Amino acid sequence: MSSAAADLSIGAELVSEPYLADARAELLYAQAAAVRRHPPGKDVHIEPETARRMGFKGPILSGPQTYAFLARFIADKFGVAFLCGGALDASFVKPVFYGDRLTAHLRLLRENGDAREFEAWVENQDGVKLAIGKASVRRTP
Amino acid sequence: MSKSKSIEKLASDHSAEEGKADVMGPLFYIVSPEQVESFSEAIGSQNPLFTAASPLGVQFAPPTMRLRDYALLQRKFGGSVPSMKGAGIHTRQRTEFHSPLYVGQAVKASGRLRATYIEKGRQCGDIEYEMRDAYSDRLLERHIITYTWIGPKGESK
Repeated sequence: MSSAAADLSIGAELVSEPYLADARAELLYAQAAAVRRHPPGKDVHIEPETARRMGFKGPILSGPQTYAFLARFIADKFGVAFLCGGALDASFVKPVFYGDRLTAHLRLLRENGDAREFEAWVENQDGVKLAIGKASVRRTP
Repeated sequence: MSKSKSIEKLASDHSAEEGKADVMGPLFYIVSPEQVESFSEAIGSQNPLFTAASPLGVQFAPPTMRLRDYALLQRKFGGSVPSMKGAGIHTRQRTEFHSPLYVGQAVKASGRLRATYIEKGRQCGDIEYEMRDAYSDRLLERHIITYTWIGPKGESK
């Protein structure tokens, strides 16, 4: 656990470095996570025309990829205190488009016994929240 | 006995669970260093815990690296999710992290369709699935994924 994360006070916020959501990031994630592609004409994550037909302005990143970015940020900050006994609950409330520059955020809500509970979210370069939820980590690694 | 052969035996020992109502799996695999490294790169991680030089002496897998196991389970075991035209969009993900997966670990994954329902006029479903150590049966991660269906022209299903 980083020293900054260990010394948090209620209401304190942690912010990640930006993560560029683009075609390269989508491809790397899809390969690493063994994502099975949808048939041509049905893949909203890589096909602009399919995405438009489904009501989006362009291809969207998958929810699990956004979730993975948020989980990675928490793991970077809290290490085994998150990996052993932590939890993450996130809803994907708006689409992530190619070109979005994402940041992950944590705000400490309360300390409850051995658990620290955070508001957790991912927002884009315009400050629009795209995924919102809660996370918990153990206070003692 | 090689580890891969052991995994095959574990799989055959569990074959009786296949076909049970609402159960998808189990499927078995060994966590590979190649996937840990490629997944770490894909999510922009430089966390030393996920490297071969981990300060804890064990190369852990990044959280959510196997989040897509639900799709493998559905593909292999059919699952009971209705087949629909269009796209399933993930709308929510919940995970309990009990113990991190690590390189070389044999893992057993299984799941079930937890619920289907209509929310705001859309067809939704929850799939619950978990990963356990294939030998000790220790719980590693438990997930619930919620999806909603969008038709081929963007309509609600």
